[in-house]
Amino acid sequence: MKAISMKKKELIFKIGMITIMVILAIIALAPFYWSILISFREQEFIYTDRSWFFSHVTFDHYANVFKDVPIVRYFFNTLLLTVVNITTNLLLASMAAYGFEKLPFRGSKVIFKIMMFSMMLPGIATTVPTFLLLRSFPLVGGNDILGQGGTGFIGTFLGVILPGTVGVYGIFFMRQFFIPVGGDYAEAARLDGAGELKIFFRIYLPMVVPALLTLGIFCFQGVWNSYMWPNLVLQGHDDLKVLTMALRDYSIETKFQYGPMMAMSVLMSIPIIIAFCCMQKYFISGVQVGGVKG
Amino acid sequence: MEQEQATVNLNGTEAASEKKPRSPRKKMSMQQKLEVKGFLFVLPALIFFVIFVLVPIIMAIVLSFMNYDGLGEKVFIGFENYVNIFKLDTVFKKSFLNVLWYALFAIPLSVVLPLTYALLINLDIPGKKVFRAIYYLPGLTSAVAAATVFRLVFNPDIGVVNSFLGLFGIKGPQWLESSSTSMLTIVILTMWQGVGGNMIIYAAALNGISPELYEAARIDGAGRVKSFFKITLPLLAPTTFFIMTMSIIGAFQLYDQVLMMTNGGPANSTVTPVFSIYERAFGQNSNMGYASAQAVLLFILIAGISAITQRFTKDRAY
Repeated sequence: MKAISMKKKELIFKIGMITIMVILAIIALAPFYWSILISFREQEFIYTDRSWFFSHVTFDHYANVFKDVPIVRYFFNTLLLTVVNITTNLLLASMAAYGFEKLPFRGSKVIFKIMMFSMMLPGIATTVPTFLLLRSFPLVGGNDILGQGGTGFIGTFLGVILPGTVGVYGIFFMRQFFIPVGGDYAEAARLDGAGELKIFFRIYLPMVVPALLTLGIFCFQGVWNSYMWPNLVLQGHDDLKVLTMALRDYSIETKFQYGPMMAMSVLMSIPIIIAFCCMQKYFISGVQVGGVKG
Repeated sequence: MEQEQATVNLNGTEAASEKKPRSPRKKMSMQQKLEVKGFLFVLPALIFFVIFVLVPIIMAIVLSFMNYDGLGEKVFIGFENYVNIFKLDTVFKKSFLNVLWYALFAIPLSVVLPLTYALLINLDIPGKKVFRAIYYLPGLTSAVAAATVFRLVFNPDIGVVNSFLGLFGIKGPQWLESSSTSMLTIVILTMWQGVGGNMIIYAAALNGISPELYEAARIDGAGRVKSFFKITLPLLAPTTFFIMTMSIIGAFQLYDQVLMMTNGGPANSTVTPVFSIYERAFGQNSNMGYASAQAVLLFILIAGISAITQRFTKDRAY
């Protein structure tokens, strides 16, 4: 008797919890639903038809986005910047992490500590000087040897890429994965005459692939979604826009009309949601890198 | 074989292996070689770190003592920028008050909400992975896109929030157009986007608590509620402090959301420190020296907050 009532209690508890979870899921999804709803509604009915369901459906807003904005081009711009950022970050961060952890040298501890300390730095503290530095980089973008006369890396993809080449949090994150890996493999390989790069690429790196994927996803999210820095470097160069810039500019162009604005937001969110569905595990563990960053 | 030789040379050494019985002197040089290799592994990252972190920090400090509009001459003016910030800069001061106002809602919410979500997805319930994915979904989209969507969500006439309130006969506020609710909308946006990530951090911390503790508490006659307050909450304290710290530090640095939702308005009610610094550096009436002084002050403040909370978060899981 008692066992049954316990079971019943448990069941009621679970149903209650599931109800709460469904409500929370609706809250999480409502803004997506609402933006999709409006993006398919005819312009003149957006303010008059207050329906919660699809009505006066049109594809015009989407058609207009493709007509007015070279969105495919911007997609590939964003993709290029993201791919480069992921590649350089994974390579340089794991190399540095390996150096710090497996081949410590005089001063390596101090360098590592300084790097860790810099994680506290708010990004804006270096935004202005980094911008000036890139603008007056010697011998690029029409600059002379003193960095005068031209625009340096401003207005180029390299200007967006260079400051983000390797993140300190990535080094810290990768190092944590090298710590538990013993040094025996390296010793043995060294005795066999393998070079250090070979040891690194053939032995150590394959052992931390999950960590690399996690860091890769973290970089992907950061770059794909960034706005401030690419906008600062690339503004005024219409061919080089990234998606976030394009959305902002298009919103201003269309005077913040909801139809086109929502259509473009929806389009922009599709790639990252697809990526999430394919690699959910690594997205979830990517949160840890963010934790490390603090 | 040749390739191998090349990789060895890349590392700056001529030969990797020596004949077996090594003299102590030789052994030393082997060790030194490894140190050199270690340095070479770190070097590429170090170069970028020096150019794009260390040098800019020094430049920011130097610039903060200068008057510089970004194009003309740099003029050294001593502490004038700092004096002006403290004496005259009402917008910058307002931005900190705004953060305080933001934090008043955001700090309790950024703990209570993710913890609730984490407790729910840690229950033994069918489909919990699907729920976890759904809760995390809002955090995927860019702040710019999310803010764009939230302009609609909080539209007083056709937004989902006021439409929902309308069901109960409540006339919703003006949200973004009113200086008393504008910051609140940004709080809600950042909570909506951030709850999934913090939920995952909390869920991991919850999984780290030994089940034996709960077992012992149950034997001692403690119920679900009691063991939550006596076991779970205290053991989660480091994670909680970490999340709180991150949400305060994040508040100072809100930019994309503010730009897209309110552009700092109405009446500067949503200006954040970073928004204000960015406007000063790159907006109209640009003064990069002044903006650098603001940035240096912000850095000192954030470093202070981090140092204080570090004491509490030392043994956090992440």
